[in-house]
Amino acid sequence: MLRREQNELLTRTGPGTPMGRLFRAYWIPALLAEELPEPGCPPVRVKLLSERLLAIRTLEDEYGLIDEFCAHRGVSLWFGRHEEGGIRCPYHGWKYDVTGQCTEVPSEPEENGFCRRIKLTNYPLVKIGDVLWTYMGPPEEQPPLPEWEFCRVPPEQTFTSKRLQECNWLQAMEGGIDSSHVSWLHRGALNKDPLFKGAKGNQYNLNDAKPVFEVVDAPGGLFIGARRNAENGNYYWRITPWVMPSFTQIAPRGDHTVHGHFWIPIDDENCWAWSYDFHPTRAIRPEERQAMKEGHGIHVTYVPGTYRPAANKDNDYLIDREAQRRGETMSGVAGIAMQDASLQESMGPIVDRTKENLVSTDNGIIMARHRLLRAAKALAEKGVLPPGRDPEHQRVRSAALVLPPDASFKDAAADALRVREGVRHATV
Amino acid sequence: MASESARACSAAEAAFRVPYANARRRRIALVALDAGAAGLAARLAEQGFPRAVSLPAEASGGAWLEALLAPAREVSGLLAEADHLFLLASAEGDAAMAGAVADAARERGVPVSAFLVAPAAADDGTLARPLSRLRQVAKMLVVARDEADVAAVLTALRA
Repeated sequence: MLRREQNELLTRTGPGTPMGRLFRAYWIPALLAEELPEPGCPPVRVKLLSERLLAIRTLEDEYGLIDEFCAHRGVSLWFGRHEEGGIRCPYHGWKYDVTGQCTEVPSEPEENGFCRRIKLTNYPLVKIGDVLWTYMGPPEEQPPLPEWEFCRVPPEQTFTSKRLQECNWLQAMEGGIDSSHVSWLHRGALNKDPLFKGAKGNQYNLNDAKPVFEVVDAPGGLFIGARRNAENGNYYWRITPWVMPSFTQIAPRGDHTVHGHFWIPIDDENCWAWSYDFHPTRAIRPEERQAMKEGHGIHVTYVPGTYRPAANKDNDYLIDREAQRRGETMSGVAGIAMQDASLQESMGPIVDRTKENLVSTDNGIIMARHRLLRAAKALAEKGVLPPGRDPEHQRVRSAALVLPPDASFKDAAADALRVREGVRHATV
Repeated sequence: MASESARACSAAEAAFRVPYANARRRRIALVALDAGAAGLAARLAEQGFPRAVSLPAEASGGAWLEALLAPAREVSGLLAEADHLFLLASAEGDAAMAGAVADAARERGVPVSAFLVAPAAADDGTLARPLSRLRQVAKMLVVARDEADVAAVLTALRA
Protein backbone atom coordinates (compact mmCIF):
# COMPACT_ATOMS: atom_id res chain seq x y z
CA MET A 1 0.00 0.00 0.00
CA LEU A 2 1.17 3.49 -0.78
CA ARG A 3 -0.35 6.74 0.30
CA ARG A 4 -1.88 8.71 -2.53
CA GLU A 5 0.88 11.31 -2.53
CA GLN A 6 3.55 8.60 -2.61
CA ASN A 7 1.85 6.97 -5.57
CA GLU A 8 1.74 10.32 -7.35
CA LEU A 9 5.40 10.95 -6.64
CA LEU A 10 6.53 7.57 -7.98
CA THR A 11 4.40 7.52 -11.09
CA ARG A 12 4.75 11.06 -12.47
CA THR A 13 7.89 11.52 -14.51
CA GLY A 14 7.30 14.66 -16.54
CA PRO A 15 9.60 17.70 -16.40
CA GLY A 16 9.84 19.21 -12.95
CA THR A 17 8.59 16.18 -11.04
CA PRO A 18 10.81 14.47 -8.44
CA MET A 19 10.60 11.12 -10.21
CA GLY A 20 11.16 12.80 -13.56
CA ARG A 21 14.28 14.38 -12.12
CA LEU A 22 15.40 10.94 -10.94
CA PHE A 23 14.97 9.34 -14.38
CA ARG A 24 16.84 12.29 -15.85
CA ALA A 25 19.87 11.35 -13.74
CA TYR A 26 20.48 8.24 -15.87
CA TRP A 27 21.26 7.21 -19.41
CA ILE A 28 18.03 5.59 -20.60
CA PRO A 29 17.15 3.63 -23.74
CA ALA A 30 15.52 5.96 -26.25
CA LEU A 31 15.27 4.03 -29.51
CA LEU A 32 16.37 0.82 -31.10
CA ALA A 33 19.33 1.45 -33.37
CA GLU A 34 17.28 -0.08 -36.20
CA GLU A 35 14.91 2.89 -36.04
CA LEU A 36 17.62 5.17 -37.43
CA PRO A 37 19.24 2.69 -39.80
CA GLU A 38 21.45 4.98 -41.92
CA PRO A 39 22.70 8.55 -42.27
CA GLY A 40 19.98 10.84 -43.52
CA CYS A 41 17.21 8.33 -42.77
CA PRO A 42 13.73 9.60 -41.86
CA PRO A 43 13.61 11.17 -38.39
CA VAL A 44 11.63 9.44 -35.65
CA ARG A 45 9.16 11.03 -33.25
CA VAL A 46 10.01 10.00 -29.72
CA LYS A 47 8.13 10.77 -26.56
CA LEU A 48 10.14 10.19 -23.39
CA LEU A 49 9.40 11.27 -19.84
CA SER A 50 6.45 13.28 -21.21
CA GLU A 51 8.65 15.27 -23.60
CA ARG A 52 8.00 15.15 -27.34
CA LEU A 53 11.29 14.84 -29.13
CA LEU A 54 12.68 14.05 -32.55
CA ALA A 55 15.50 11.60 -33.12
CA ILE A 56 17.66 12.31 -36.15
CA ARG A 57 20.66 10.77 -37.86
CA THR A 58 22.25 13.39 -40.06
CA LEU A 59 23.81 13.00 -43.45
CA GLU A 60 27.14 13.28 -41.59
CA ASP A 61 26.14 10.26 -39.46
CA GLU A 62 25.65 12.13 -36.22
CA TYR A 63 22.81 11.17 -33.87
CA GLY A 64 20.70 13.80 -32.18
CA LEU A 65 17.59 14.06 -30.03
CA ILE A 66 15.94 17.46 -30.20
CA ASP A 67 12.66 19.18 -29.41
CA GLU A 68 10.21 17.90 -32.00
CA PHE A 69 8.82 21.32 -32.85
CA CYS A 70 10.26 24.18 -34.84
CA ALA A 71 10.95 27.25 -32.72
CA HIS A 72 9.27 29.47 -35.34
CA ARG A 73 5.61 28.52 -35.22
CA GLY A 74 5.64 25.10 -33.68
CA VAL A 75 5.31 22.72 -36.60
CA SER A 76 6.68 19.23 -36.22
CA LEU A 77 10.18 18.83 -37.57
CA TRP A 78 9.28 15.24 -38.37
CA PHE A 79 8.33 16.67 -41.75
CA GLY A 80 11.84 18.12 -42.01
CA ARG A 81 14.30 17.46 -44.77
CA HIS A 82 17.87 16.35 -44.17
CA GLU A 83 20.44 18.68 -45.62
CA GLU A 84 24.14 19.04 -45.11
CA GLY A 85 24.69 20.03 -41.48
CA GLY A 86 21.22 19.36 -40.16
CA ILE A 87 17.50 19.20 -40.74
CA ARG A 88 15.40 21.91 -42.36
CA CYS A 89 11.82 22.73 -41.43
CA PRO A 90 9.77 22.54 -44.60
CA TYR A 91 7.41 25.35 -43.56
CA HIS A 92 9.71 28.42 -43.76
CA GLY A 93 13.10 26.82 -44.13
CA TRP A 94 14.51 27.19 -40.64
CA LYS A 95 17.43 24.81 -40.28
CA TYR A 96 18.79 23.11 -37.15
CA ASP A 97 21.92 21.15 -36.49
CA VAL A 98 22.14 17.96 -34.42
CA THR A 99 22.44 19.95 -31.18
CA GLY A 100 19.20 21.82 -31.89
CA GLN A 101 21.07 25.00 -32.73
CA CYS A 102 19.30 26.97 -35.42
CA THR A 103 21.79 27.60 -38.19
CA GLU A 104 19.64 29.32 -40.78
CA VAL A 105 16.53 31.50 -40.86
CA PRO A 106 16.10 32.30 -44.55
CA SER A 107 13.76 35.25 -44.01
CA GLU A 108 16.25 37.09 -41.80
CA PRO A 109 19.44 38.81 -42.93
CA GLU A 110 22.32 36.51 -42.13
CA GLU A 111 24.35 39.34 -40.62
CA ASN A 112 21.84 40.12 -37.86
CA GLY A 113 22.63 36.78 -36.17
CA PHE A 114 18.99 36.02 -35.38
CA CYS A 115 19.40 32.30 -35.90
CA ARG A 116 22.17 32.12 -33.29
CA ARG A 117 19.65 33.13 -30.66
CA ILE A 118 17.40 30.18 -31.50
CA LYS A 119 18.19 26.81 -29.98
CA LEU A 120 15.95 23.83 -29.41
CA THR A 121 16.33 21.62 -26.37
CA ASN A 122 18.59 18.74 -27.22
CA TYR A 123 19.86 15.63 -25.53
CA PRO A 124 22.80 13.41 -26.43
CA LEU A 125 21.98 10.25 -28.33
CA VAL A 126 24.60 7.51 -28.31
CA LYS A 127 24.59 4.06 -29.90
CA ILE A 128 25.75 1.26 -27.63
CA GLY A 129 24.79 -2.24 -28.67
CA ASP A 130 21.38 -2.39 -30.35
CA VAL A 131 20.19 0.65 -28.45
CA LEU A 132 20.36 4.43 -28.81
CA TRP A 133 20.73 5.86 -25.32
CA THR A 134 19.95 9.34 -24.15
CA TYR A 135 20.62 11.39 -21.07
CA MET A 136 17.99 14.07 -20.34
CA GLY A 137 19.44 15.62 -17.19
CA PRO A 138 21.69 18.56 -16.45
CA PRO A 139 24.84 18.35 -18.62
CA GLU A 140 27.10 18.95 -15.63
CA GLU A 141 25.73 15.83 -13.93
CA GLN A 142 25.98 13.51 -16.93
CA PRO A 143 27.14 10.06 -15.74
CA PRO A 144 29.55 7.77 -17.63
CA LEU A 145 28.07 5.88 -20.56
CA PRO A 146 26.06 2.78 -19.64
CA GLU A 147 27.90 -0.47 -19.01
CA TRP A 148 25.05 -2.98 -19.04
CA GLU A 149 26.45 -6.30 -20.18
CA PHE A 150 23.68 -6.95 -22.72
CA CYS A 151 24.75 -3.96 -24.78
CA ARG A 152 28.49 -4.43 -24.33
CA VAL A 153 28.84 -8.00 -25.63
CA PRO A 154 29.58 -8.52 -29.36
CA PRO A 155 26.56 -7.96 -31.65
CA GLU A 156 26.14 -11.66 -32.43
CA GLN A 157 25.60 -12.35 -28.70
CA THR A 158 22.74 -9.94 -28.11
CA PHE A 159 19.18 -9.16 -29.23
CA THR A 160 17.00 -6.29 -28.03
CA SER A 161 13.38 -5.43 -28.72
CA LYS A 162 10.90 -2.97 -27.34
CA ARG A 163 7.14 -2.90 -27.09
CA LEU A 164 4.57 -0.30 -26.21
CA GLN A 165 2.95 -0.96 -22.86
CA GLU A 166 -0.19 1.06 -22.27
CA CYS A 167 0.16 1.75 -18.56
CA ASN A 168 2.39 3.58 -16.13
CA TRP A 169 6.01 2.45 -15.98
CA LEU A 170 5.95 1.51 -12.30
CA GLN A 171 3.31 -1.20 -12.42
CA ALA A 172 5.11 -2.68 -15.42
CA MET A 173 8.45 -2.66 -13.63
CA GLU A 174 6.99 -4.09 -10.45
CA GLY A 175 6.01 -7.15 -12.45
CA GLY A 176 9.67 -7.60 -13.28
CA ILE A 177 10.75 -7.84 -9.66
CA ASP A 178 7.82 -9.96 -8.56
CA SER A 179 9.26 -13.45 -9.03
CA SER A 180 6.33 -15.10 -7.27
CA HIS A 181 4.03 -14.73 -10.30
CA VAL A 182 6.22 -16.84 -12.58
CA SER A 183 5.07 -20.20 -11.21
CA TRP A 184 1.48 -19.12 -11.85
CA LEU A 185 1.09 -16.83 -14.79
CA HIS A 186 3.93 -18.25 -16.89
CA ARG A 187 3.55 -21.84 -15.75
CA GLY A 188 2.58 -23.10 -19.18
CA ALA A 189 5.50 -21.39 -20.89
CA LEU A 190 8.32 -22.82 -18.83
CA ASN A 191 8.23 -26.20 -20.53
CA LYS A 192 7.09 -25.04 -23.96
CA ASP A 193 8.67 -21.76 -24.90
CA PRO A 194 11.76 -22.45 -27.04
CA LEU A 195 13.75 -19.87 -25.11
CA PHE A 196 12.89 -21.34 -21.71
CA LYS A 197 12.23 -25.05 -22.04
CA GLY A 198 14.53 -27.91 -21.17
CA ALA A 199 16.35 -26.36 -18.23
CA LYS A 200 16.68 -28.42 -15.09
CA GLY A 201 15.83 -25.32 -13.08
CA ASN A 202 12.33 -25.32 -14.58
CA GLN A 203 11.49 -28.45 -12.65
CA TYR A 204 12.47 -26.83 -9.37
CA ASN A 205 10.14 -23.99 -10.33
CA LEU A 206 7.25 -26.22 -11.22
CA ASN A 207 7.70 -28.56 -8.25
CA ASP A 208 7.60 -25.75 -5.72
CA ALA A 209 5.09 -22.98 -6.33
CA LYS A 210 5.74 -21.45 -2.93
CA PRO A 211 9.27 -20.10 -3.03
CA VAL A 212 10.84 -18.41 -0.06
CA PHE A 213 12.16 -14.93 -0.73
CA GLU A 214 15.15 -13.02 0.53
CA VAL A 215 15.83 -9.42 -0.34
CA VAL A 216 19.22 -7.84 0.24
CA ASP A 217 20.76 -4.50 -0.58
CA ALA A 218 22.99 -4.08 -3.60
CA PRO A 219 25.08 -1.02 -4.45
CA GLY A 220 22.76 -0.04 -7.29
CA GLY A 221 19.49 -1.34 -5.87
CA LEU A 222 18.55 -4.80 -4.68
CA PHE A 223 19.16 -8.48 -5.15
CA ILE A 224 15.93 -10.43 -4.86
CA GLY A 225 16.46 -14.12 -4.22
CA ALA A 226 13.77 -16.77 -4.62
CA ARG A 227 14.61 -20.05 -2.93
CA ARG A 228 13.13 -23.44 -3.68
CA ASN A 229 13.95 -26.89 -2.44
CA ALA A 230 16.53 -28.89 -4.39
CA GLU A 231 18.11 -32.30 -3.84
CA ASN A 232 19.97 -33.37 -0.69
CA GLY A 233 18.63 -30.55 1.43
CA ASN A 234 20.16 -27.88 -0.79
CA TYR A 235 18.34 -24.87 -2.14
CA TYR A 236 17.77 -23.79 -5.74
CA TRP A 237 18.15 -20.02 -5.88
CA ARG A 238 16.95 -17.67 -8.58
CA ILE A 239 18.48 -14.26 -8.03
CA THR A 240 17.21 -11.16 -9.79
CA PRO A 241 19.12 -7.91 -9.66
CA TRP A 242 17.14 -4.68 -9.74
CA VAL A 243 19.20 -1.61 -10.49
CA MET A 244 17.76 1.85 -10.16
CA PRO A 245 15.68 3.20 -11.66
CA SER A 246 14.19 0.39 -13.76
CA PHE A 247 16.62 -2.31 -14.86
CA THR A 248 16.05 -5.98 -14.11
CA GLN A 249 17.61 -9.20 -15.26
CA ILE A 250 15.72 -12.48 -15.06
CA ALA A 251 17.56 -15.43 -13.55
CA PRO A 252 18.80 -17.69 -16.37
CA ARG A 253 17.62 -21.13 -17.34
CA GLY A 254 20.10 -23.76 -18.53
CA ASP A 255 22.22 -22.59 -21.45
CA HIS A 256 19.48 -20.35 -22.76
CA THR A 257 20.21 -16.72 -23.29
CA VAL A 258 19.78 -14.37 -20.33
CA HIS A 259 16.71 -12.11 -20.45
CA GLY A 260 15.90 -8.83 -18.88
CA HIS A 261 14.09 -5.53 -19.11
CA PHE A 262 14.18 -1.80 -18.81
CA TRP A 263 10.91 0.10 -18.28
CA ILE A 264 11.04 3.65 -19.55
CA PRO A 265 8.18 6.13 -19.19
CA ILE A 266 6.79 7.55 -22.43
CA ASP A 267 4.36 9.63 -20.42
CA ASP A 268 2.53 8.88 -17.19
CA GLU A 269 0.13 6.42 -18.82
CA ASN A 270 2.40 4.61 -21.28
CA CYS A 271 5.87 3.14 -21.18
CA TRP A 272 8.35 1.27 -23.32
CA ALA A 273 9.03 -2.24 -22.15
CA TRP A 274 12.55 -2.90 -23.38
CA SER A 275 13.44 -6.57 -23.58
CA TYR A 276 16.92 -7.92 -24.12
CA ASP A 277 18.44 -11.35 -24.54
CA PHE A 278 22.13 -12.01 -24.53
CA HIS A 279 24.62 -14.75 -23.88
CA PRO A 280 27.87 -13.81 -22.15
CA THR A 281 30.04 -16.35 -23.96
CA ARG A 282 28.46 -17.49 -27.19
CA ALA A 283 26.61 -16.18 -30.22
CA ILE A 284 22.84 -16.36 -30.19
CA ARG A 285 21.96 -19.32 -32.39
CA PRO A 286 20.01 -18.64 -35.59
CA GLU A 287 17.00 -20.57 -34.30
CA GLU A 288 17.08 -18.62 -31.04
CA ARG A 289 17.26 -15.29 -32.83
CA GLN A 290 14.42 -16.37 -35.09
CA ALA A 291 12.34 -17.35 -32.04
CA MET A 292 12.94 -13.91 -30.52
CA LYS A 293 11.83 -12.23 -33.74
CA GLU A 294 8.73 -14.42 -33.76
CA GLY A 295 7.74 -13.17 -30.32
CA HIS A 296 8.87 -16.05 -28.15
CA GLY A 297 10.50 -15.68 -24.77
CA ILE A 298 10.00 -12.16 -23.49
CA HIS A 299 9.49 -10.65 -26.96
CA VAL A 300 6.30 -10.06 -28.95
CA THR A 301 5.02 -9.75 -32.49
CA TYR A 302 3.79 -6.35 -33.58
CA VAL A 303 1.05 -4.53 -35.38
CA PRO A 304 2.94 -4.09 -38.68
CA GLY A 305 4.93 -0.89 -38.89
CA THR A 306 4.73 -0.21 -35.16
CA TYR A 307 6.11 -1.40 -31.84
CA ARG A 308 2.61 -2.00 -30.54
CA PRO A 309 2.04 -5.69 -29.73
CA ALA A 310 -0.21 -7.58 -32.13
CA ALA A 311 -2.14 -8.80 -29.11
CA ASN A 312 -3.36 -5.66 -27.41
CA LYS A 313 -6.28 -4.24 -25.50
CA ASP A 314 -8.21 -3.49 -28.70
CA ASN A 315 -8.51 -7.20 -29.46
CA ASP A 316 -8.74 -8.43 -25.86
CA TYR A 317 -5.16 -9.67 -26.23
CA LEU A 318 -6.43 -12.45 -28.52
CA ILE A 319 -7.54 -14.33 -25.44
CA ASP A 320 -8.03 -18.06 -25.94
CA ARG A 321 -10.40 -19.44 -23.31
CA GLU A 322 -9.96 -22.99 -24.59
CA ALA A 323 -6.21 -22.84 -24.02
CA GLN A 324 -6.93 -21.47 -20.57
CA ARG A 325 -9.39 -24.27 -19.86
CA ARG A 326 -6.88 -26.88 -21.02
CA GLY A 327 -4.30 -25.36 -18.69
CA GLU A 328 -1.92 -24.36 -21.46
CA THR A 329 -2.06 -20.80 -20.24
CA MET A 330 -3.27 -19.45 -16.92
CA SER A 331 -4.87 -16.29 -18.31
CA GLY A 332 -5.74 -17.39 -21.83
CA VAL A 333 -3.20 -14.94 -23.23
CA ALA A 334 -0.32 -16.41 -25.18
CA GLY A 335 3.32 -15.44 -24.72
CA ILE A 336 5.20 -14.45 -21.61
CA ALA A 337 5.45 -10.76 -22.48
CA MET A 338 1.78 -10.32 -23.23
CA GLN A 339 0.74 -12.42 -20.26
CA ASP A 340 2.47 -9.79 -18.14
CA ALA A 341 1.43 -6.75 -20.17
CA SER A 342 -2.25 -7.69 -20.41
CA LEU A 343 -2.61 -8.02 -16.67
CA GLN A 344 -0.56 -4.93 -15.90
CA GLU A 345 -2.57 -2.84 -18.37
CA SER A 346 -5.79 -4.17 -16.85
CA MET A 347 -4.81 -2.43 -13.61
CA GLY A 348 -5.59 0.90 -15.29
CA PRO A 349 -3.25 3.58 -16.62
CA ILE A 350 -1.94 4.31 -13.12
CA VAL A 351 -2.93 1.71 -10.57
CA ASP A 352 -4.40 3.00 -7.32
CA ARG A 353 -1.94 1.63 -4.78
CA THR A 354 -3.95 2.94 -1.84
CA LYS A 355 -6.28 -0.03 -2.36
CA GLU A 356 -3.79 -2.85 -2.78
CA ASN A 357 -3.20 -5.54 -0.18
CA LEU A 358 0.41 -6.60 -0.44
CA VAL A 359 1.77 -9.75 1.16
CA SER A 360 5.21 -10.67 2.35
CA THR A 361 6.25 -12.06 -1.05
CA ASP A 362 5.88 -8.51 -2.34
CA ASN A 363 8.76 -7.28 -0.22
CA GLY A 364 11.01 -6.81 -3.25
CA ILE A 365 8.44 -4.43 -4.68
CA ILE A 366 8.03 -2.65 -1.36
CA MET A 367 11.75 -2.15 -0.95
CA ALA A 368 12.26 -1.00 -4.53
CA ARG A 369 9.53 1.60 -4.05
CA HIS A 370 11.13 2.69 -0.81
CA ARG A 371 14.48 3.16 -2.52
CA LEU A 372 12.94 5.09 -5.40
CA LEU A 373 11.05 7.37 -3.04
CA ARG A 374 14.11 7.97 -0.92
CA ALA A 375 16.35 8.64 -3.91
CA ALA A 376 13.84 10.92 -5.64
CA LYS A 377 13.44 13.01 -2.49
CA ALA A 378 17.18 13.15 -1.81
CA LEU A 379 17.82 14.33 -5.35
CA ALA A 380 14.99 16.86 -5.38
CA GLU A 381 15.64 18.26 -1.91
CA LYS A 382 19.40 17.91 -1.45
CA GLY A 383 20.81 17.27 -4.90
CA VAL A 384 22.09 13.83 -3.90
CA LEU A 385 22.73 11.83 -7.06
CA PRO A 386 21.10 8.38 -6.92
CA PRO A 387 22.58 4.87 -7.01
CA GLY A 388 22.75 3.02 -10.33
CA ARG A 389 24.68 5.67 -12.26
CA ASP A 390 28.05 4.17 -11.48
CA PRO A 391 29.06 1.69 -14.21
CA GLU A 392 30.09 -0.72 -11.45
CA HIS A 393 26.49 -0.78 -10.23
CA GLN A 394 25.47 -1.80 -13.74
CA ARG A 395 27.93 -4.64 -14.08
CA VAL A 396 25.62 -7.13 -12.37
CA ARG A 397 24.22 -10.47 -13.44
CA SER A 398 21.27 -12.56 -12.47
CA ALA A 399 22.03 -16.12 -11.42
CA ALA A 400 20.37 -19.50 -10.94
CA LEU A 401 22.27 -21.89 -8.77
CA VAL A 402 22.05 -24.59 -6.11
CA LEU A 403 23.59 -23.67 -2.77
CA PRO A 404 23.98 -25.36 0.61
CA PRO A 405 21.17 -24.55 3.03
CA ASP A 406 23.22 -22.36 5.34
CA ALA A 407 24.83 -20.21 2.64
CA SER A 408 23.97 -16.55 2.28
CA PHE A 409 23.11 -16.22 -1.40
CA LYS A 410 24.65 -12.81 -1.75
CA ASP A 411 27.97 -14.02 -0.43
CA ALA A 412 27.97 -17.54 -1.84
CA ALA A 413 26.99 -16.25 -5.26
CA ALA A 414 29.07 -13.07 -5.14
CA ASP A 415 31.12 -13.99 -8.22
CA ALA A 416 28.06 -15.15 -10.09
CA LEU A 417 26.31 -11.84 -9.48
CA ARG A 418 28.90 -9.66 -11.17
CA VAL A 419 29.94 -9.41 -14.79
CA ARG A 420 33.03 -11.43 -15.61
CA GLU A 421 33.97 -10.98 -19.23
CA GLY A 422 34.37 -14.24 -21.07
CA VAL A 423 32.96 -16.24 -18.17
CA ARG A 424 29.64 -18.00 -18.53
CA HIS A 425 26.79 -17.02 -16.29
CA ALA A 426 25.79 -19.19 -13.32
CA THR A 427 22.78 -21.19 -14.40
CA VAL A 428 20.90 -24.43 -13.79
CA MET B 1 -19.41 -1.08 -24.60
CA ALA B 2 -15.90 -0.08 -23.63
CA SER B 3 -16.37 -1.39 -20.11
CA GLU B 4 -16.97 -4.86 -21.47
CA SER B 5 -13.62 -5.14 -23.19
CA ALA B 6 -9.96 -4.82 -22.32
CA ARG B 7 -10.18 -1.22 -23.49
CA ALA B 8 -11.75 -0.46 -20.13
CA CYS B 9 -8.30 0.10 -18.67
CA SER B 10 -8.58 3.81 -19.45
CA ALA B 11 -8.41 6.51 -16.80
CA ALA B 12 -12.05 7.34 -17.44
CA GLU B 13 -13.14 3.77 -16.77
CA ALA B 14 -10.92 3.57 -13.68
CA ALA B 15 -13.30 6.06 -12.10
CA PHE B 16 -15.95 3.34 -12.05
CA ARG B 17 -13.95 0.87 -10.03
CA VAL B 18 -15.91 -0.31 -7.03
CA PRO B 19 -15.12 2.18 -4.28
CA TYR B 20 -15.77 0.02 -1.24
CA ALA B 21 -13.08 -1.35 1.07
CA ASN B 22 -11.67 -4.67 -0.14
CA ALA B 23 -9.96 -5.96 3.00
CA ARG B 24 -10.23 -5.97 6.74
CA ARG B 25 -7.41 -4.53 8.79
CA ARG B 26 -4.47 -6.89 9.07
CA ARG B 27 -3.00 -7.68 12.46
CA ILE B 28 0.76 -7.98 12.36
CA ALA B 29 2.66 -9.23 15.39
CA LEU B 30 6.24 -8.15 15.99
CA VAL B 31 8.68 -10.12 18.09
CA ALA B 32 12.17 -8.78 18.78
CA LEU B 33 14.78 -11.48 19.21
CA ASP B 34 17.66 -9.53 20.75
CA ALA B 35 18.51 -6.26 22.42
CA GLY B 36 19.30 -4.49 19.15
CA ALA B 37 15.99 -5.59 17.71
CA ALA B 38 14.22 -4.48 20.91
CA GLY B 39 15.62 -1.00 20.38
CA LEU B 40 14.35 -1.01 16.83
CA ALA B 41 10.96 -2.23 18.02
CA ALA B 42 10.77 0.63 20.53
CA ARG B 43 11.49 3.15 17.76
CA LEU B 44 8.85 1.56 15.58
CA ALA B 45 6.31 1.81 18.38
CA GLU B 46 7.07 5.53 18.64
CA GLN B 47 6.13 5.80 14.97
CA GLY B 48 2.77 4.21 15.65
CA PHE B 49 3.50 0.62 14.64
CA PRO B 50 2.30 -2.25 16.86
CA ARG B 51 4.23 -2.74 20.05
CA ALA B 52 6.62 -5.67 19.84
CA VAL B 53 7.26 -8.36 22.39
CA SER B 54 10.96 -8.46 23.20
CA LEU B 55 12.47 -11.79 24.10
CA PRO B 56 15.63 -12.23 26.11
CA ALA B 57 18.57 -12.89 23.83
CA GLU B 58 19.22 -16.23 25.45
CA ALA B 59 17.45 -18.49 27.88
CA SER B 60 20.13 -19.59 30.26
CA GLY B 61 21.31 -18.92 33.80
CA GLY B 62 19.43 -19.56 37.00
CA ALA B 63 16.43 -17.37 36.28
CA TRP B 64 15.84 -18.44 32.69
CA LEU B 65 12.33 -19.65 33.32
CA GLU B 66 11.23 -16.41 34.93
CA ALA B 67 12.95 -14.38 32.19
CA LEU B 68 11.02 -16.22 29.53
CA LEU B 69 7.68 -16.73 31.15
CA ALA B 70 6.17 -13.29 30.81
CA PRO B 71 7.28 -12.61 27.21
CA ALA B 72 6.27 -16.13 26.24
CA ARG B 73 2.76 -15.44 27.47
CA GLU B 74 2.75 -12.18 25.56
CA VAL B 75 3.87 -13.91 22.36
CA SER B 76 1.16 -16.49 22.79
CA GLY B 77 -1.43 -13.76 23.21
CA LEU B 78 -0.15 -11.90 20.17
CA LEU B 79 -0.20 -14.96 17.98
CA ALA B 80 -3.76 -15.79 18.97
CA GLU B 81 -4.85 -12.56 17.32
CA ALA B 82 -2.26 -12.18 14.56
CA ASP B 83 -2.56 -12.59 10.81
CA HIS B 84 1.19 -12.42 10.27
CA LEU B 85 4.31 -12.55 12.43
CA PHE B 86 7.43 -10.53 11.79
CA LEU B 87 10.57 -11.54 13.63
CA LEU B 88 13.03 -8.72 14.19
CA ALA B 89 16.69 -9.53 14.63
CA SER B 90 19.89 -7.54 14.60
CA ALA B 91 23.58 -8.20 14.23
CA GLU B 92 23.83 -8.03 18.03
CA GLY B 93 22.13 -11.37 18.52
CA ASP B 94 21.96 -14.84 17.05
CA ALA B 95 18.19 -15.25 16.72
CA ALA B 96 18.32 -18.19 19.12
CA MET B 97 14.59 -18.03 19.87
CA ALA B 98 13.52 -17.76 16.24
CA GLY B 99 12.70 -21.43 15.90
CA ALA B 100 10.61 -21.63 19.05
CA VAL B 101 8.55 -18.56 18.20
CA ALA B 102 8.08 -19.68 14.61
CA ASP B 103 6.92 -23.11 15.79
CA ALA B 104 4.29 -21.46 17.94
CA ALA B 105 3.20 -19.35 14.99
CA ARG B 106 3.01 -22.33 12.71
CA GLU B 107 0.82 -24.21 15.18
CA ARG B 108 -1.61 -21.29 15.04
CA GLY B 109 -1.42 -21.00 11.26
CA VAL B 110 0.32 -17.63 11.35
CA PRO B 111 2.85 -17.07 8.53
CA VAL B 112 6.31 -15.87 9.51
CA SER B 113 8.55 -13.25 7.91
CA ALA B 114 11.76 -11.85 9.29
CA PHE B 115 13.95 -8.80 9.26
CA LEU B 116 17.63 -8.94 9.97
CA VAL B 117 18.78 -5.37 10.37
CA ALA B 118 22.52 -5.05 10.19
CA PRO B 119 24.76 -2.09 9.55
CA ALA B 120 26.71 -2.14 6.30
CA ALA B 121 29.86 -2.68 8.34
CA ALA B 122 28.60 -5.95 9.84
CA ASP B 123 30.73 -8.78 8.52
CA ASP B 124 29.35 -11.98 7.09
CA GLY B 125 30.60 -14.03 10.03
CA THR B 126 28.57 -11.96 12.46
CA LEU B 127 25.43 -12.40 10.42
CA ALA B 128 25.84 -16.08 9.62
CA ARG B 129 24.21 -17.40 12.78
CA PRO B 130 21.07 -15.24 12.85
CA LEU B 131 20.76 -15.51 9.08
CA SER B 132 20.86 -19.27 9.19
CA ARG B 133 18.26 -19.47 11.95
CA LEU B 134 15.91 -16.96 10.39
CA ARG B 135 16.18 -18.62 6.99
CA GLN B 136 14.94 -21.88 8.48
CA VAL B 137 11.71 -20.34 9.69
CA ALA B 138 10.84 -17.29 7.58
CA LYS B 139 8.84 -17.40 4.39
CA MET B 140 10.25 -14.01 3.53
CA LEU B 141 13.52 -12.64 4.84
CA VAL B 142 14.86 -9.15 4.38
CA VAL B 143 18.45 -8.34 5.21
CA ALA B 144 18.30 -4.59 5.63
CA ARG B 145 21.11 -2.10 6.11
CA ASP B 146 18.68 0.63 7.04
CA GLU B 147 15.95 0.22 9.65
CA ALA B 148 13.76 2.56 7.62
CA ASP B 149 13.18 -0.48 5.39
CA VAL B 150 11.33 -2.15 8.25
CA ALA B 151 8.96 0.78 8.63
CA ALA B 152 8.47 0.91 4.86
CA VAL B 153 7.50 -2.75 4.70
CA LEU B 154 5.20 -2.59 7.71
CA THR B 155 3.48 0.47 6.28
CA ALA B 156 3.07 -1.18 2.89
CA LEU B 157 1.56 -4.24 4.58
CA ARG B 158 -0.84 -2.01 6.52
CA ALA B 159 0.56 -2.97 9.94
